[in-house]
Amino acid sequence: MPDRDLSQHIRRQLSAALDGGAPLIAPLPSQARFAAPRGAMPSPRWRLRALTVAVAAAGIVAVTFAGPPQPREWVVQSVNGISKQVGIPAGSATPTPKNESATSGQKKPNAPTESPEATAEPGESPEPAESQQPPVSEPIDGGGGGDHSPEPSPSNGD
Amino acid sequence: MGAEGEATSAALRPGNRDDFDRLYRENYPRLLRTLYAITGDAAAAEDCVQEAFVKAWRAWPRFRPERAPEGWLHQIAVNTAISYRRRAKLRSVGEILRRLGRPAVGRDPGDAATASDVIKALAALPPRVAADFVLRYHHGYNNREIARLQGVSERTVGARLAQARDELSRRLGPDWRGKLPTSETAGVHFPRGRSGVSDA
Repeated sequence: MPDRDLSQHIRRQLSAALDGGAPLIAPLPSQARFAAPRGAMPSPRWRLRALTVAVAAAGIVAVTFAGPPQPREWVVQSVNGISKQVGIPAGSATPTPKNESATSGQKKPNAPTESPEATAEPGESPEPAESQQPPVSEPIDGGGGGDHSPEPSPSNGD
Repeated sequence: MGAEGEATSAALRPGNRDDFDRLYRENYPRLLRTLYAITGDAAAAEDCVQEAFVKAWRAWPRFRPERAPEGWLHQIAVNTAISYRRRAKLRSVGEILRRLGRPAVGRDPGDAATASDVIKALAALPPRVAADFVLRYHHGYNNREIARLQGVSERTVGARLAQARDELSRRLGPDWRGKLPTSETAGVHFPRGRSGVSDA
């Protein structure tokens, strides 16, 4: 088969179509797609560092937010929240054992009417009565009941 | 005639980044034009060329220096464009199936303005036929060089060029059938400095 050739007019038409449709803007080799994976891929050393930082950050977050377990804390918070909404003072709400101990411990020093004498039982006075508990330092001489003088009598020395 | 395509005969070191950058600079224009003729879409041609260089870069450490780098890149690029056309054809079939029974969507006026009849006729050719035609009549390669680039015989190249001329003459006019070489047109003009594919 003979190898035919195209006329110059047809060649120019072909070149105009190819050059006009696909303008030649060749990206630089550094901007080409084949250059991207090598530059974007981190080295193993950086990968190890990034992994270490990520693990440390996760540990800090876990320690910060997890903390020790606090059972029934949510109950106290929710009851206090409801009592605030309703308008009831927090202390008069149905107390949980923890709440009760907390409120009683705070109110005792502030209450002016409550004294140790008023609250204590008759037999549980903090100050012992003299008639019932004699002082330990008093000597027992076996003498009369009214003589409590610790000084010896002058007649004994004569 | 394309004046791109400079010397690539200098010793190439497989795996060397600088040598690959040089290959990229020297072969990008030719590959872009060739793939534009195959795909019929400038953006797709750029995408395919970039994808071809990504594939070539991955295979670059295993490149055999005794092989012509232009032909190596050309085959990677043409295969990439063929894959693109295959995927595009599948997409178009899917679009047709989805639009069955619906009114046809009109063509984008921008496409009609930029895609010339020549490009559309080239894109309708089989990919390797279109590539041979552009290499021969736009880049100025002779049949032997095209045969080396494509890895086929010169007879195959001649048959492909004849097929291209027949198809284009039917679509674009009888001038595209060409004429037998005379004493004035027998000499083929080669682009300056294109020595990457030697006859040796």
